[in-house]
Amino acid sequence: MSRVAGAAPRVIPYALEQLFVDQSSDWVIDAVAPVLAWVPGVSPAKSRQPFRFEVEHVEGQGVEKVRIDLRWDEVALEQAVPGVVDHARRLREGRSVQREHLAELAAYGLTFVAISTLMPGRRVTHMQMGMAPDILFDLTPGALRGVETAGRSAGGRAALAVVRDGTPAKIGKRAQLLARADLAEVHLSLWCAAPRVSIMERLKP
Amino acid sequence: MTAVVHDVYEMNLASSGRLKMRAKALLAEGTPDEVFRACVLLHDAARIQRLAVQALPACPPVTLLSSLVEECWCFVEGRDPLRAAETWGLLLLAREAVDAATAEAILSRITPRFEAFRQEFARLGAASPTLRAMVEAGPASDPSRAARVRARKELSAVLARFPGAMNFWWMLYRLAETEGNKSEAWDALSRARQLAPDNARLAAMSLVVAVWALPAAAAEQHLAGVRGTLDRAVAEVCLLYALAEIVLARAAAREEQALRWERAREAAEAGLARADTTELRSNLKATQLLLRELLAGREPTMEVLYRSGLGKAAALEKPDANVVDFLTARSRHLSPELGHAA
Repeated sequence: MSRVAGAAPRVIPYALEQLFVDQSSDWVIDAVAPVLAWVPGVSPAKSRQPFRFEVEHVEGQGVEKVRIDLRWDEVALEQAVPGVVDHARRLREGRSVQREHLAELAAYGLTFVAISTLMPGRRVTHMQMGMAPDILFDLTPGALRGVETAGRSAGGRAALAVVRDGTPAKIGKRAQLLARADLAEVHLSLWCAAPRVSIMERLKP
Repeated sequence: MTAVVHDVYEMNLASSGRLKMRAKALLAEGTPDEVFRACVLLHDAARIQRLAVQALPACPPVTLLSSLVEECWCFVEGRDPLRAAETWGLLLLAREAVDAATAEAILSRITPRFEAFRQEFARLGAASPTLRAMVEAGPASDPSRAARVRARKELSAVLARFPGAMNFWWMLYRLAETEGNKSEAWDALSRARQLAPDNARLAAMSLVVAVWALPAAAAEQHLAGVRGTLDRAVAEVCLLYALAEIVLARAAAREEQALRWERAREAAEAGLARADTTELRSNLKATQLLLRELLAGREPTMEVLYRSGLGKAAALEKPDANVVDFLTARSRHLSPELGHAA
């Protein structure tokens, strides 16, 4: 991994439908519509593919700038998840939609993309929601391996940094995860929809 | 941990995780129907989560604590304050075996969620005096018409906020049943059953409620779904299945009537072999005596109740009361917890 400030980012084009190859559809199937609903946002000017995420990929002392160019083919997605486009429209426009759940689901979907591109070969085996990390690769009791996620609709890197580092009143996810003796490996995966930025950070080992 | 045990553990956890993902997607849509479906899935997920841990021969304390956190989260997101509170108690006990820093980190997400949820429920509970009075009076309470009107209003508010709470659907069932509102009673009991599919009492009650609330063909369909499970069903299911068959036999042609009585007889016999309380044995005995009369071409009387040890209950009824109606109506008023008869 390069540790550069001004170098051009590595560009990773990724088609969302590829998630059905890279990960088990059991996990992917419920995250696709939220990604379709959340990522484009409401501004037509920003709703054109590819959706470009500037990702700060941190591994130990190294920081790599990565650009994930996300696109999708609605026909291919419909084949994998019939009705997904209409579902996404409902999530975008529905009056009863719970935005907090939508952002969480979209962040899961984007994390699946990040796992598939930045940790090639890793497969999600479990999801948990009552405690971190949300996404797990290895369920060995006392030695879990996984990724903790969060999604923010706005605020960019500053908003993601607050999630990671906390505030004087609230402890951040990084400190919480580092305090855990039962985690053998853990990463943070934070996403913002406007502007489209992300932090992917390995915390352990 | 052996490979097989670990596989079972992982398989259960994965299954629970899939249900949680599906539930979250439904919660995101936010309509009442989808939220209720999410609640059902989250209750299933909690049940499987517990099974996963039970499969471990030696569960590390931190794994037990984590599992209880996940289970509690399922009940909080699944809008079931009573089950969430029960699980919270277990979680506090499990926390004692885990080092403080790890426990605090593991509990950091669930603690504020549970506390906010608990407070929300407590506020609504304080604003629902009629429901509280009904709960304290127990399942046999017979509220006045005015109290039922108030209770319905309070229940409506509670179920809007806590649609995952089986006990409140059961209370709605009881109100609707008392008022003779068959479709609402069936719907409420069905929702309670969806949230607690392993509750044998609710499964048993559904048999007698089906023959009371549904058209005969639909009731038969419901009974048919249970018929194949009687060889391993608990005694209470056998008892209420037998009574339901007797009710359906009333309007049946001669040949079908004999078939239904025979099925009822077999079910009562199977139930008697598994009955573990005096009351259940008495009820099954009464059903057997009742069937003996029917098969002999005689109209059963309240005498069968006295002869089977249900004399106290029979003494409160009119001597010419229909014994089948008496037994089935009693069965529709059971509490959702096994061992708490009306």
